[in-house]
Amino acid sequence: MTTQASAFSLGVPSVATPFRRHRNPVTVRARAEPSDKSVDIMRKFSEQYARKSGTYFCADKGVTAVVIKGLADHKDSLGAPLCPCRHYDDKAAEAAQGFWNCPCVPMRERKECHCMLFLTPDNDFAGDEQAITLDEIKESTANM
Amino acid sequence: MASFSLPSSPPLLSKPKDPFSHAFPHPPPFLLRMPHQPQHLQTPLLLPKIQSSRHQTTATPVTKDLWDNSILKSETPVLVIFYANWCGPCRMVHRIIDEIATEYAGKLKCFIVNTDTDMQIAEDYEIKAVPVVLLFKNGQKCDSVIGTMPKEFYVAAIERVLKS
Repeated sequence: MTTQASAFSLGVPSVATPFRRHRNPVTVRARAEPSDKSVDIMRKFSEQYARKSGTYFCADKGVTAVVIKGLADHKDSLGAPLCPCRHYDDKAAEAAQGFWNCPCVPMRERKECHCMLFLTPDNDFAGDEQAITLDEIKESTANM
Repeated sequence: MASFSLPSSPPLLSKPKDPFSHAFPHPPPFLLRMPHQPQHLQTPLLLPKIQSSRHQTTATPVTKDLWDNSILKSETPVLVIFYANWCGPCRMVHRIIDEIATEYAGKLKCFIVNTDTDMQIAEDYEIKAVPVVLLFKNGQKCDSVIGTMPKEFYVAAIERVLKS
């Protein structure tokens, strides 16, 4: 009925569509990009955790955007937001172990984030924002 | 030879003022210039061409196959930056290293390694946190910088290696 018609009306960003899954093959085919859903989950988590921990995003929010996408990518592929700023012999084992799942143990214990997602105010690279929009993330990672 | 890995402290130098004067020659917001394209690094034979289409002297991608000739047998000192695909600060350091590659053209060769695709090199050199910058002279690793540092920190390390 009318729901079918609206589901296929291209070009109009449908609000709260129940057919999200249909769009995934397109993004997956394009390149190894994390899903929009995971990016938004990690974006919201980052905003919340920055506020909660009293830390700030990097003055260059391109850094923030890339890291959030990296977390989302690991969430998609491993089921956990493993830190994208480390090299692992075995990512799956590492994600299961949990030490480097965001927020990692050094962040939780000492506010140390070498990925520069969460920076204490005294850090030279810290900006003064604790929020980042989906558009900012898309814009600053568009040419990757 | 002095090593500048700082495993227990935050990997950032404290500089009281104007922290971006060196790290951000351009105004910082949002637009990271990203000369490397993580998803397309798997074709080693094509890499030099792709890379040089932008600049003649930027950090060149290197793989396991090219490692011995490019790094260990190099007559000039070599700088290698290890990065991961989705590592935000790696892009900042890569940008700095690209500048250094231009400024030190002829005196220092700069390479980049993608640890996601070249796991063997990463493991050989026990790379954990990225970015990592290694300096080689006469086939020997002689310095390493772990984390994100201001440009002059890398320059100082390079100068020490060149003079040694």
